[in-house]
Amino acid sequence: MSDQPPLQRLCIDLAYFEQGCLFVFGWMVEPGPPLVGVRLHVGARAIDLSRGLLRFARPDVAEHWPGVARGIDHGLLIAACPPGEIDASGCSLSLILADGTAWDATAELSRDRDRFAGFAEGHAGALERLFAMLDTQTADRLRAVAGVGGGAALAAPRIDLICLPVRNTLLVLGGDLDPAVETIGLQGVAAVARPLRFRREVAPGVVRQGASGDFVAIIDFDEAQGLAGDLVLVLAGGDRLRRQPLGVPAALDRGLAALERHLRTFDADSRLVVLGAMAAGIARWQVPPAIAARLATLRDLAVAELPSRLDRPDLGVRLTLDLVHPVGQEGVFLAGWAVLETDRVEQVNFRLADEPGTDILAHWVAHQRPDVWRSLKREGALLETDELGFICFIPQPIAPDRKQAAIAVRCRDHVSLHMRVDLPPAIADPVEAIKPILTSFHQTHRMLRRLLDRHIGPAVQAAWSSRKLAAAAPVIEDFGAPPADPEVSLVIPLYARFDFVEHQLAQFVDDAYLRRCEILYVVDDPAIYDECRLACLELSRFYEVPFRLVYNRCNAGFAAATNLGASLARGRYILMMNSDVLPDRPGWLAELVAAHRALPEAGAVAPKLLYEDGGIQHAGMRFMRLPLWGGLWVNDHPRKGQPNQAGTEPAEFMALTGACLLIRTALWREVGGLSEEYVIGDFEDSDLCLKLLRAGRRNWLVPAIELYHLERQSQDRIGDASWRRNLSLYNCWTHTQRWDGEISRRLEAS
Amino acid sequence: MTRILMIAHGHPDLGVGGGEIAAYRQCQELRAQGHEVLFMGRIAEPSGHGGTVFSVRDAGLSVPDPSRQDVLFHSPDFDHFRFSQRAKWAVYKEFRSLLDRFAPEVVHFHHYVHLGLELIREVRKYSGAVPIVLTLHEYLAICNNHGQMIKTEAAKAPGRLCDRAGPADCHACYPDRSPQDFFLRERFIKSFFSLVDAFVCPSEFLLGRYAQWGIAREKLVLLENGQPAIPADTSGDTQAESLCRRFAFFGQVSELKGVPLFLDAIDALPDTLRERLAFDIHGTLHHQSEEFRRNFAARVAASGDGVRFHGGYRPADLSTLMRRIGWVVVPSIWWENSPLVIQEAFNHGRPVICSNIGGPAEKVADGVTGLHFIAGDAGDLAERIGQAADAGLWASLRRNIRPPLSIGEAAQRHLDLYQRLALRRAPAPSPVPTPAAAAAASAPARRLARRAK
Repeated sequence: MSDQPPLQRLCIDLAYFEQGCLFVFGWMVEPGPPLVGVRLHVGARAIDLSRGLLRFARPDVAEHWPGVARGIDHGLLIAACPPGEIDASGCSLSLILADGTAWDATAELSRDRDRFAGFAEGHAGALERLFAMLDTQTADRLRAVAGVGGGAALAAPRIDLICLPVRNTLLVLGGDLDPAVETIGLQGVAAVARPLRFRREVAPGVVRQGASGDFVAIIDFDEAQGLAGDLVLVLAGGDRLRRQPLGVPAALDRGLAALERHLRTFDADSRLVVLGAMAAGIARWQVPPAIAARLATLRDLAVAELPSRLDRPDLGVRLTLDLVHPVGQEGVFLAGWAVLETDRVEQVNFRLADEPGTDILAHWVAHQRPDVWRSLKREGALLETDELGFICFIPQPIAPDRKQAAIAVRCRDHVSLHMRVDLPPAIADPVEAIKPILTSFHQTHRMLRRLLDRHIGPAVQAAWSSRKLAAAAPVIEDFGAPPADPEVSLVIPLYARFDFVEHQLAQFVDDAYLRRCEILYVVDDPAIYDECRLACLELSRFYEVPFRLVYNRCNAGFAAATNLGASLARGRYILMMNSDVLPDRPGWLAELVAAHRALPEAGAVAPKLLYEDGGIQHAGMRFMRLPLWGGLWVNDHPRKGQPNQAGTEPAEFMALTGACLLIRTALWREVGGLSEEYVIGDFEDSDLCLKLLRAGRRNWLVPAIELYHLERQSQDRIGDASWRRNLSLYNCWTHTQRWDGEISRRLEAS
Repeated sequence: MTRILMIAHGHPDLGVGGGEIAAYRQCQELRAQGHEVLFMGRIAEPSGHGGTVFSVRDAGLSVPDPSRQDVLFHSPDFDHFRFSQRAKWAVYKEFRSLLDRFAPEVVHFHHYVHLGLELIREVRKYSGAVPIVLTLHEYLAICNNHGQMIKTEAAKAPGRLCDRAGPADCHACYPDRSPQDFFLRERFIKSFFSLVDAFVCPSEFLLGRYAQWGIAREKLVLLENGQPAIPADTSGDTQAESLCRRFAFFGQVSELKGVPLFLDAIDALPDTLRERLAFDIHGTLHHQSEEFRRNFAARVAASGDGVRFHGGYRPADLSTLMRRIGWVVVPSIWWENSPLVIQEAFNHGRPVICSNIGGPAEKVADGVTGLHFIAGDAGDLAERIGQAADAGLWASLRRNIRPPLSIGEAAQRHLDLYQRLALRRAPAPSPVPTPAAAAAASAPARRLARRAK
């Protein structure tokens, strides 16, 4: 337990009055709204002290009082010469806050000279900074009473350029700034700037060495309040202070010309530092569009001059991007390799324009790059880590016309290095846009889950969700007269090949029950539509099995195609069916429907599916954590590929395959059909089954009904297996993100 | 009189094959017996008549008789993997109009290759009451390797005999086709075969293979092709001594028919024996590769006078050629079905030396009507040839030969089959409930069924 008293918001350490000079030393506990005024009540008098107020750092407060807010200027100093005599023995202080409230504190008015001297010495720097803001006469009076000002002064900086590039903004550019300087301000102006230090290149590849390099400071102030007399620059740091006269304001350059001229001698890195500081400094002012555009042009010109990779082993920085992949307008996906000396490099920021940027060094996920490793080892490099590669998705909106961005590497000793990042146009096709993301990593990644959670997952999600869905209405064509009141609507998407249609029709044709059902083929592939339609014309004439061909004019993926077909379904039941599922005999669907009717609380009902060799393809699915995939839940097909010796009694499963799955149409619509978040097609079946479970239904396998399933005959045509495998991984990740809780809970309960 | 539509994958006038010849002989025999038979043969060339797949070929009559005209079905676009007619309109429109016009009471397919399995379904669509009969000539439905059930080079066992089809094994023979493709092929074929009422199998061996493949046993009917009557011949009784030393091959000169094996066996004979024997090869080299022809010609030339190659022969000359030789050698390296040449040899009272597998082994009883050698074994064939050059043996085997089924008897057995099937079909409702078609077609079928009673 602490024996310290409860904290007030405002504490006064000392209020001292001597020779018409009032000093108040105190501190604030929490930041609160901004201070707008201070009133001192002495006796019956209320004295406005707003101009003589300074807030300053008091690290001792935070150290001493465990409960106070961190990272704020706790210190409070008031120095003023209130008119008239003050004879009251006590005073109270009111801080007026921006939200209209006031914080009050009372204190005895002290005449203890020794105590005051101690405080004045301890806070000499703060006093000087406060005095710098007051008019000279008042400052001199106060200084005389306080007896301070004789301490060591800060060294004089080199001033190269002072100008007013934008209204309300003073830009100071110079060098050899005393390392102790923390703030730069103008006498009589409350706002101060923190100088931004940098090192200019004096020759290509050589940065200026020496004491402290260059600096830029952007001091903003309200010109409307006027600047009287000579401008005096006030540099402060620690307890020390320096004033530097600058002459009359009218002599200063206005506009961007002087700055532009000056920057011409700078290297691109330094220019970007100065322009970045400008951009940050003027952010709160309404800048005329012409000036904003000019600054943007200056920045873009500087960026264009930057190298497209960083290779500065002398500064501990090597950075190469192998992939720059804008994802829609949602962000950019980066992959590359970097060798960064950890004790020299502080931040790696990705910037589209002038914004502070995203620190990708803290964000990215590294991985092994044996090729880079070997090559650098041959060069004799000493490497801190074997994980030189990195992958990073930066979810930052990108305007479609943005052609370049930059990466800023901030190192110790105020060294900044920049590289240009050329942004290629975003790939519009969602699948093509996803491929580079999915081929950028291996499933053997040590931190696969983190990689998925932070980068791969959000990037693929962004690409998939930004896909443009077909605006045009689907083309619907009937081949033969559909039954008036169908029992079941078979919804069968077609992708890449349609020769299965004939095989299915050849099996459906002799099944009388199928004549009471409607068949909806959904073409999800523009490449096959024309030919498929032509074949349908002929096949329907020959087989005389009525069916409907639905074409959505794009490739929207398995789920979207199925949902489209289901939206048109007129049957009491929907049978999700793959085109490579073939019945073995007539009567199977009638039996499946009968089973659905008979089974209690039936949600989804599915038959057993066999491979062409008679082995089991599907006899229910179960969820299994896959360690290789960072413990994601995968859909396991028990006894897959094994001889068909399963039982014949209906059995309950959490999930069933969507290759052939029967569900009531009303229930399908109630749970919203298939989720379309899964790319191309995977996991939406177990997703549907879980939705049904959540809706209080039970899912049943009916193993007495067997069909054949020539699994993945059409999916395999999507090509390149490596990205396909990683796509499955992505879909699996999405599924786990969504259902981890539900699956875990149900498995624990069972 | 029964109205029969007989369908074959070729027309004997336009190319000779055992199946087409058998089909056409049956057709002509039934016509001679007074039945109305429309023969539809397939031709690869596109029809010269725009907008139709049909053309007409008269049956060689100087005075055209519409009832004896044959129809040619032009089928240039065919899926040989699953025997599917790509031009579906040729089926549902063209073939259907032929059915509607001719109104057959029976449809007998002698094949589906080049024609399309779809024709079978169209017949069933046309009528649920008309019996559909399909004669099986080899193992095409089962095996993609020309229906021969021998392994391909891709399976790393070229020429090895195969016992059964399966998606994985067939894929090994044809790596470009996936196991799933073979599965689909089988499913597809069977979806049409399920509509057939009876499969006529010329050999027990072939019948067994199709039963193993999944065709219901009761649908498989063993029925041999008929042989035409030939003039009486007594040459064999008087010239046994010379005829027993004359060995001949009849048929297509090919690897598969075992001609190179036959030549190997001849080479393997001791010189002293070979000089006393005569070897004749009758048949064409059509469809053979240039390399095969070259090798064959070189081997025949190298044999001096030992082997005589005569080239192709007219069917009309067969009897003459048969009478000049004593033994017919059938050295096929595949299973065969019921080789026509064995029936022809028996028709002429000639014993047969054949391999000990499949159809030949079934048709020729070893040591009774001929001799068996171990399939593919040239040395064993050489030994059987040596053993055969014996007038006593020749004459005794010859005495055991029974004349094969005549064309007339074969036709009668087919008619009996048609009537049995019509009887079974007639009372049953059509499985494809298209009332119009059923009503239109059931009348002739009922008529046929009545006659059967």
